[in-house]
Amino acid sequence: MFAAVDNSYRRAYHKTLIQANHMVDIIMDRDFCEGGSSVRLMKPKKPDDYVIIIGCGRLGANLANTLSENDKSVLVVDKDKSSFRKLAPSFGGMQLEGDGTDLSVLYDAQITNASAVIAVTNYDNTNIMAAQIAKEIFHIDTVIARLYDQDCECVYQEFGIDTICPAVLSSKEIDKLLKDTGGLGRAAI
Amino acid sequence: MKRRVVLIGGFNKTRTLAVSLIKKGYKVTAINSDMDKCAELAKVNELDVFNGDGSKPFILEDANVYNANIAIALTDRDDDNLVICELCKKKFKVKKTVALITDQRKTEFFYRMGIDDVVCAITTLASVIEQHAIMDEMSTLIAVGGSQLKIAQVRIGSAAPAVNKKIWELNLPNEVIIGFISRGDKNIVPRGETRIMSGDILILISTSRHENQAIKQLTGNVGATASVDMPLNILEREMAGQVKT
Repeated sequence: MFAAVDNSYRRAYHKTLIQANHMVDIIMDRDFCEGGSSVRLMKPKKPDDYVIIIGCGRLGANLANTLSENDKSVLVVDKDKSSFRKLAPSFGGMQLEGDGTDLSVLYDAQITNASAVIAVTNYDNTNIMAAQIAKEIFHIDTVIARLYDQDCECVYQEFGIDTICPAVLSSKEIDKLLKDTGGLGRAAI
Repeated sequence: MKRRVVLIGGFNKTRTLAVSLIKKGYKVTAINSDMDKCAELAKVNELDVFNGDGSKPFILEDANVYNANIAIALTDRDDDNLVICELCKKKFKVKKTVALITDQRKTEFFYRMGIDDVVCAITTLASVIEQHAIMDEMSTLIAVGGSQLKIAQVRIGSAAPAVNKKIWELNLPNEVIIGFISRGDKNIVPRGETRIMSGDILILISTSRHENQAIKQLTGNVGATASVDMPLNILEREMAGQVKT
């Protein structure tokens, strides 16, 4: 049953892939060519746009919805099927049930074609491992991990993984609001 | 100064390992996130126990992991074990890190992340079980000297031809010796007069050519490795010819 589901995802993905390549063949970008003597192929659309999101929590689902609205091809991985209900009805991307740190799941997700991998499960260590796998095994250029706690920075800093810490972001934002509203006379944090 | 070992996570494994390492003279520290398990672990003599999440740097700092000789991550989660080992290695300069993993396919990834030793519990366990289940009659323990000499463990079933025979009656090849007999709680060094009983476990030392022949004489079954080493056979014939001429 699970394999059947997997295959349907794969088929769906291949379909978009074929369509994308087809478009590349037809659409040619003349703006780049001076003199009009030669035509240049547009850069394939797909590799820039395929984003894998690991973890379909509130952040993951929100991000998936936004990216999907912006016509990116998105794949969301979560080991719990029920968490996909957070995706909007208009979500046009793909869903894959499985562990985002499992290599076979990542192969199923066609991670080698991804331009970005975003690890946003609710567990820091899972995000660190998923990000390191994406970076070190699959050499994905853009890897972003959400981490609640930045204590383990020394573990991932050398790998070029971008991290987002909600607490740091929130405090910066609050600080900004305080300054804007004049809540702090001389805010100097 | 005593060599220091830190065990992070795990419970039964940690306890067994701690007892064994302490006996060997190591100074052992255990870190566990479960308070009840910590209380249980603290009953082990000379074991220092810390309560907390081992993937948090401040817990490792409390447990004085800095410059320890070995850190072993034994939690159930691969991601935790990875982060623990990386922290120990990079932040706390532990000399050797060992991680237990459940997913064997990640072994290489773990090595690439700088972990010194990766143990996959499931594969290790499965291979041991397989050895016990399939090689019931015979299991080769050690192959010595370019695998020409073999030490094997042979179990004598009740229907085996060797049962109730004295060893001199067996007519074993000269290249084979029964080194030891394990019978229930007793360990017997065999003599020619020793009688083989059903249920005995024999430690057989033999050349690889005569191993299967000996096992057949003892148990009635052909051993699991029934292949004859052809080049050796030829060599043997040649040598026999040389002796004659």
